[in-house]
Amino acid sequence: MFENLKNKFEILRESEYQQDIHSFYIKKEDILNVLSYLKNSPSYLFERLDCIYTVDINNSFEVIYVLQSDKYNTKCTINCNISYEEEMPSVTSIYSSANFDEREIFDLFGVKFNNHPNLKRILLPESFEGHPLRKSYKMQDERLRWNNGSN
Amino acid sequence: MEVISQDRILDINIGPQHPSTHGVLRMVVSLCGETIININPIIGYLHRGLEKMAENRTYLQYLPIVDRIDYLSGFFCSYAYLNGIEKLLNITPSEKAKYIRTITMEMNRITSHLLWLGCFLMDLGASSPFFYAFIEREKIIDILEDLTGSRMMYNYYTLGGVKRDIDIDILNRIKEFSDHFETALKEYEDLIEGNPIFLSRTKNIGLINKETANQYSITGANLRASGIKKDLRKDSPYLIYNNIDFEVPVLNNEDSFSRFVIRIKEMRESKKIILQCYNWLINHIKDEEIKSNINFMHIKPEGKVISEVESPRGLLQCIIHADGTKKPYRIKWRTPSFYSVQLINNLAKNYKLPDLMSIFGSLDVIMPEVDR
Repeated sequence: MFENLKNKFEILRESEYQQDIHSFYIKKEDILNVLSYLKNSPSYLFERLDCIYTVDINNSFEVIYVLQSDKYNTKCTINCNISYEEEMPSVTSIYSSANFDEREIFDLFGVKFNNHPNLKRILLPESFEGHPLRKSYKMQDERLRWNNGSN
Repeated sequence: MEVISQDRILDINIGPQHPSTHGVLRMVVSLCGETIININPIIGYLHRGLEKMAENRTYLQYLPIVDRIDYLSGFFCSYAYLNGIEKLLNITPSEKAKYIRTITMEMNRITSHLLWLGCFLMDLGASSPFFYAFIEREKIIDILEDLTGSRMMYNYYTLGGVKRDIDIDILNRIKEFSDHFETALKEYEDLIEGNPIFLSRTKNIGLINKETANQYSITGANLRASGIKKDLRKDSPYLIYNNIDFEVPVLNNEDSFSRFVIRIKEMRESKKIILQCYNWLINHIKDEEIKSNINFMHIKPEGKVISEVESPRGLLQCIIHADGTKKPYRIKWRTPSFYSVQLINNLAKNYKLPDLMSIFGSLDVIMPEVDR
């Protein structure tokens, strides 16, 4: 099913979730083109962005877009590997639901999104320091010493 | 469009402590007279860091916390989480466990919808439907309490099944309930659907068209009220929904009223599913295998998985990245209400302030799920 996508864009790597959900690793410069292609092309019609989430892995971030096509009843994910300092382009112009998702990632991981309409912390208070879902984040909770100080 | 000068705009603050925000949502509403110009929803007052907590706990230690993600439908969160682990470990629950999971989840769906029904009508100023809805809800909760030991935070599912077997007494009470439930549903319809005040406050208000619904990733009953037939139980059936005969109600009116009608119809379908599960379970009461023999304490799954379930509010996903250690590497919860909250600005713009609560109430948003 994904032949067209592979011919049109450069796919760096592929992997799979359990239950045959494909993920495609692409360059972050391509993300807007790939998503608008997948959304509008009649052979895919990924009209819904289920969610965006991020994993802190191998000293970099992996930003993952989970897409859903109702017409073909299928799912796929588009993944981008970026370093800790890099910024991502915002996809709110393609999927409006990305607005809160990107704010959440900015809040909890500290990934900045370019051209986002309102990039502010969403779950944590504005005065909060640090980004808790980064693996380097140290929790300073007194009660954790019963846990041998490990997070 | 008429340009409104800045000195005619009044910002007012609704919430976070407000009964019709269903928890702790804060909305900064810009008004011109009584007309809403802009709404800025502010969330995070119930943030407990559930995704970070997962990284510090073993898979078993995280299980009781999962119910708290959405305390009105705990079974669905438990199922999404456990189903993910089961897929990673290649465990298939036994037939009986699947039926028990289905029957409890459908009962949970009814309790969740009933609470929504009561609160929605309460938002509109009608207090008696709240009590009518709670009469039936209380009956289910009592059954679930006797089955699981808890009224809301069930912690009942475990790896490859459920913790305790369902017995004949409880099954009979479920049967008795579902036989009686039709009269209750009829009563709600008689009480509410013909009420002119209710109709004028919900009909043609808060329209979500198909494009907006997809654009904002709306799922569940809200999507089906906009004319898109999308239900995970039919589209990619999990558990035993393959063997069950039920309908997915769809309406094309896109307004608050149709979201109300859809949920009433869904309760009726849930009742049908419960009766079919009852008929199967009553014939297999002697089956003993209800959970897997693998020790939950020492599991070390590896891989990544997207586990989905159709919760009362829509598509609930639990995405697990496991790295072969006893703690999850990363867990992401995709919760439906998180996306419904975003939509409120689009929906309520240009309506009057009193309509805000009727529109917001009809979306069935619950805050613990939004903030996680």
